[in-house]
Amino acid sequence: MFDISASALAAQVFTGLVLGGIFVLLAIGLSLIFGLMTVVNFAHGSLYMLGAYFGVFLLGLTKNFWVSLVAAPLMVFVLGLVIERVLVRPLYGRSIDDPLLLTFGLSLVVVEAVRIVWGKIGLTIDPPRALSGALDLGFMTFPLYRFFVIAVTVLVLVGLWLFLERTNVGLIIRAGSRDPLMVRALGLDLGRVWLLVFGIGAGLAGLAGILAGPMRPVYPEMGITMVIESFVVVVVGGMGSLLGAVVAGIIIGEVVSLTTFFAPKLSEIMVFVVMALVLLVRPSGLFGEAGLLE
Amino acid sequence: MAQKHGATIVGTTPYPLGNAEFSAHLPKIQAAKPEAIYSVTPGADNIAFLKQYASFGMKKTPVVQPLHWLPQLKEGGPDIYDGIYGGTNFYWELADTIPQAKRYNDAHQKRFGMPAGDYGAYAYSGVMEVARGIELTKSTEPKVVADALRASREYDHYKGKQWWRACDGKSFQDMWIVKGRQPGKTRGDWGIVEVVARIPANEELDRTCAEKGLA
Amino acid sequence: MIRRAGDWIGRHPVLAFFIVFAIFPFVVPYKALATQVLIYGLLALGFNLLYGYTGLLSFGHAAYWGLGAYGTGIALAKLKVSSLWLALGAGVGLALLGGAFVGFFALRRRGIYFSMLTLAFAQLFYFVAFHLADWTGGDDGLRGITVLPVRLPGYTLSLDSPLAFYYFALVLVGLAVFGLQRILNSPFGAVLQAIRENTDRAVACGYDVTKVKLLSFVFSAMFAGLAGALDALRLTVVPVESLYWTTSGQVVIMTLLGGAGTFFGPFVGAATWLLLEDRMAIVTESWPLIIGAIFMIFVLFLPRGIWGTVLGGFHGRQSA
Repeated sequence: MFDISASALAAQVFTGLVLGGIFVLLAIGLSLIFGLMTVVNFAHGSLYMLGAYFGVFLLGLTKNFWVSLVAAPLMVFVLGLVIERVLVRPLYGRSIDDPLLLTFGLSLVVVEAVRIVWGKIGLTIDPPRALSGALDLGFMTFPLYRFFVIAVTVLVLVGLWLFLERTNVGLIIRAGSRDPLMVRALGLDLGRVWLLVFGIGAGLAGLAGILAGPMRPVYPEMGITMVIESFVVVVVGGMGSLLGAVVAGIIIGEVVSLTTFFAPKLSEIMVFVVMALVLLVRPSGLFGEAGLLE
Repeated sequence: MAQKHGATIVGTTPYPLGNAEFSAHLPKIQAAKPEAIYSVTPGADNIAFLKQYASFGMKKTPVVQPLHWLPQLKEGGPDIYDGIYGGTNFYWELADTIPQAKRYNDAHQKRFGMPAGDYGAYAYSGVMEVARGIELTKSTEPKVVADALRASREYDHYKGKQWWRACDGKSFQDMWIVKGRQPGKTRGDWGIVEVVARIPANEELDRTCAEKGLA
Repeated sequence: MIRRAGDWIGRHPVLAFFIVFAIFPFVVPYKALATQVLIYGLLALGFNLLYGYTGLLSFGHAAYWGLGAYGTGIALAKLKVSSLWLALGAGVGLALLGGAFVGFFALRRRGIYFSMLTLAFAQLFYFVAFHLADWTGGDDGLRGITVLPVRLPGYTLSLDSPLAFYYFALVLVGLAVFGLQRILNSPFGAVLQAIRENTDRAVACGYDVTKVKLLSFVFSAMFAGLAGALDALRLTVVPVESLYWTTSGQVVIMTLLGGAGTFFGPFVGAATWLLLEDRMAIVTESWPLIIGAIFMIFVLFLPRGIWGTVLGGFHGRQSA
C-alpha cells in the first residue's frame, strides 16, 4: 500500500529512536526500585499519572512550565517517601510478593482518588511556547518537544549514573542490592537508603508523567498499561542496569516503530515476542546479572 | 464507501484502542501524502492523536473524524480542535436554528448544567422512541413494541424528522459537519466547534439495501 | 462446636462444598450472583493452586480465563459444534495450551520476575484477541454464543433457566474441587507445598522442580479455563476485557481476601468481593477505592485472609 522510500524509512527509524528514549524515561524509576530493592512498584503507573496531575495543578497555580517541571516530581518524590515508610517498610522480611500486592492495591486507590478529586474527564498540559514548534529535519518534520524529552532523559541517566557510581550513598545502595546482610553487619542503616531509592524511583515516575503531559492526554487511567510497558523494557535490558534500560528502550522503540510501518496490527504483539526471545536466549536480560535478585 | 463518494484511500494504519502513543504512525501517514486524514480515535486516544499530529507539524493536512464527544472537546480545548472537522448527529448550537433542538438542549442545560452532547442525544432519542412504541401499543412486550415501530417508522424527538429503514432497521437522520473554531473565537466553555454544513438524511449516502444484500 | 464443624469440613471438603453451594442461591440477594460466585470462585481456586499451594504469584490468570471463554465461545459461535461437552473441552484445552506456553517461558525466572512475566504474556494474548477480530469479534466481543442443552446418555437438560445453569455449573465446579483435593492429597501435592516452603530444599531432595511447577501451572490454567468457559456460557458473549489484566488483578484480590493457601479461601473471597461490589455499587461509584483499601489492609495485617484467619481462630494452623 505504501511505497517504501528511503526517506520514509529514515523517518520511521528516527521516530522509533526517540520513542525508545521515552520508553527509557518511563522505565528508569521502575528499574531503579526493582533493581536495588527487589520490589516491583506496581503503583509506578499511578505515580506517573500523579506526576502529570500535579503538573496540571501546579501549572494552574504558577502558570510556569519550568517551575512545575521541577516541583511536580518533587511532590511525587515526597509521596514516594511516605509510601515506603508507611506501607512498604512493614513488608520487608515477608514474602517477596507482598510489596507487589500492596502497591497493586495502592494503584487502585490512587486512580480512584484522582477520579474523585479531578474528575473522570482528562486534562491537558500544553508544552511551553519555546518548545511547541516542529523542526524540519529534511526527511521529516519532528516536534521540538520530543527532543527536549530526550535531553531530559539523558540528563537524568547521567545524573543517576554519577549518583550511583561516584557518591558514598550510591556505593551503599549498590552494596545493599548485592548483600544487604553484609551491609547491615557493617553498621550501615539500609532502611534510610531504601527510603531514598524508593523516593527517587517515585520521583522519576512523576517526572515521566509531567513530561508526558504535553504529548499525551492526562487522565486517571493513563498509567495503567505504562507499568507493563516499563516492565518489558526492564526485562529485556536486565534489571538494575541503566545501560540495559537504554538499549532495551531503544530496541522496543524501534520494534514498535518499524512494525507499525510494515504491519501495524502486530506492533504490540512484537514487543512481547522480543521479550520472549530475549528470555529464551538470555533469561537475565541483555545486561542483567543472573540470579542477582530472585 | 470511499469510492462511492469519489475518494481514494492511499493508506490505513490501524492501532489498538486505548493507546496514547501515535508517533510511530505519524511518519507513515506523512509518507503516504494524503489530502486529508480520516481518524477514528475515540476518547482520550483522540486527544493524544491530535496533540501528536499537531506537534509533528502536520496541521496543513486536515483531519476529519466520525464524531465529536462534547466533554472531550472541552477536555482537549480550542488549541487541539482548531480546524479539525467532525461529523455529528447533534451539536448544541443547533438550538439556535432548530426549535426541537432548543427544547431538548434547554431541558438538558437546566437539568445537568451543561449543554447536551451527541451520545446523550442518541440515548435520549432512543429512550423516547421506545416510549413512543409503548404509548402506541399500550404494551411493554418487546416484540409488540418493535413491530409497532416498524409499522410507524417516522419520528422526531430532538432535532427534526428521522425514520427507520425497513430492510435493516437503521435510523436515517440529518447529520452535521462541524469544524473547530480558532482559539480565542470559541463560544464559552462548550462552543469549541461550529456547524459548517448540514447533511440531510439520505438513504443513498449510506450503503443501500441492495448493496447490503437485503433488498 | 465450631471446632468440630471446622474439623468436619477439613475432613470432608468436597461434601461440605456441595452442601453449602446447594443452598447458596437461596441465601444471596439474587440467583445470578450465586452463579457468579461459583464461577469466579473456580477461577480463584485455579489461581490458588499456583499461588497458595506452589508459591508462584501469577499476575496473568486473565489469560487462561479468557482462553477458556474464547475456546468455548468460538466452538459454539463460529465452529457450531454440536455438543456442549466438546465446546467446554475446547475452552479447557485452549487454556491448557496457553498455560503450557506461558509456563514454559515464565518459569525460567523466579519471584517477582515470574509474576510480571505472566502479566506481560497475558497482555500479549489480549492484543492477539483484539486483532484476531474474525475469530474473537475483536473489540466488540464475541457474540452469538448459543448455549446447547446438556446431553448425557439417555438424558437431556436445557440450561435456559438460571437455576438449571447454576446446578450444572455447580456439578462441574464441584468436580474441579474434588480434582483439586485429589491433587493436593497426592504425593505431587506434597511436592508443590515443599516447593512453596523452600524451593532450594525441594531441588536438593531430588525433585524435578521445574517440571512439577510447570504441571502445577498447567493444572491451574485448566481450572481457570473451565471457569472462563462457564462464564462464556453464563454471559453468552466474551468481551475482550476478559483477557485484560484487570481480570488478573481481580482474582489476585479475591484469593488473598478469602485466604491464599486455604481450600475454601477462593470461594470465600469471590463471594466477599461480589457481594460487596453488588452492595457498594448502589451507594458509591468509587468501588475500586474501597476494594483497593480493603485489599491493602489485608496484605498488611491479615495476610491469611478471611478464611485463613477464621481457621486460625480455632485451629492455630490452617488446614481446611
